[in-house]
Amino acid sequence: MSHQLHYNRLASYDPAQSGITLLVSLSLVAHSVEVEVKLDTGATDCIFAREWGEQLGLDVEQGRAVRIRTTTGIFVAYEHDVTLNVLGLEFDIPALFAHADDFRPSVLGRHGFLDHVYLGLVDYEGKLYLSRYGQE
Amino acid sequence: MMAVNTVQNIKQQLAQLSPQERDEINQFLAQQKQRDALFTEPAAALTERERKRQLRTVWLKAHRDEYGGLYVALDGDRLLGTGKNYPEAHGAAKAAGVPEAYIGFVYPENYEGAMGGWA
Repeated sequence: MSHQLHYNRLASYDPAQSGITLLVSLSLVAHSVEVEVKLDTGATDCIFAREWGEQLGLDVEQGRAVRIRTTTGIFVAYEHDVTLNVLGLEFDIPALFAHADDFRPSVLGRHGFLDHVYLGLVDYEGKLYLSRYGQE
Repeated sequence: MMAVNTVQNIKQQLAQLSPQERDEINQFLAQQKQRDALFTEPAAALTERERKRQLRTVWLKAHRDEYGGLYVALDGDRLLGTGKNYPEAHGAAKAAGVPEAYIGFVYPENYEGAMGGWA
């Protein structure tokens, strides 16, 4: 049995880099920042370094605090509603901004990204295929 | 407006690129398009988007306890439907005639997310 999916966006990434790295943008009101992110299918959420929240004009700690568990412990991030633009697809999402200054790298996880899209990967070729869910 | 000759020259140069180099150009153009869209979106539309965001934020703050752990479909502060996952909430938004509605996960109280950690 064969299966077929259709995508309307294609990005090339460097397979030699650590992780699948994409350039996305975050925007809020009149502010916009470009952010390098890792696609992280093991992350429950979209989590960004706090500097990007601050550049959007957010008071990061004013968001709702959310705890994130990692293999080495727990850290806190704060939820804010921002617009994520990936390959020209825009999503208003609940983004989390890390409390700690040294949180790296920013990641695209399930809530806010993976749950909004169809995603295909051909890692040998460094190709990422993408469509918004429901726009097939 | 760029001169016709310049456009022709760029097209000729593009024709000489490898498929991988063309992919890089495509990515560059997609990024430029994103950036242009951010700055050329009509002010009224931007305001409407931010107005809905503000209404949504207030609504979510007030109703988090009721809908925590679910996906909600919202048009500003108007609840269109809910679902256990994105497709269910998206279906509710479509049924309500607002296919472009906000669909989002509502973080419940005591939510704990997870990620593997990066070196």
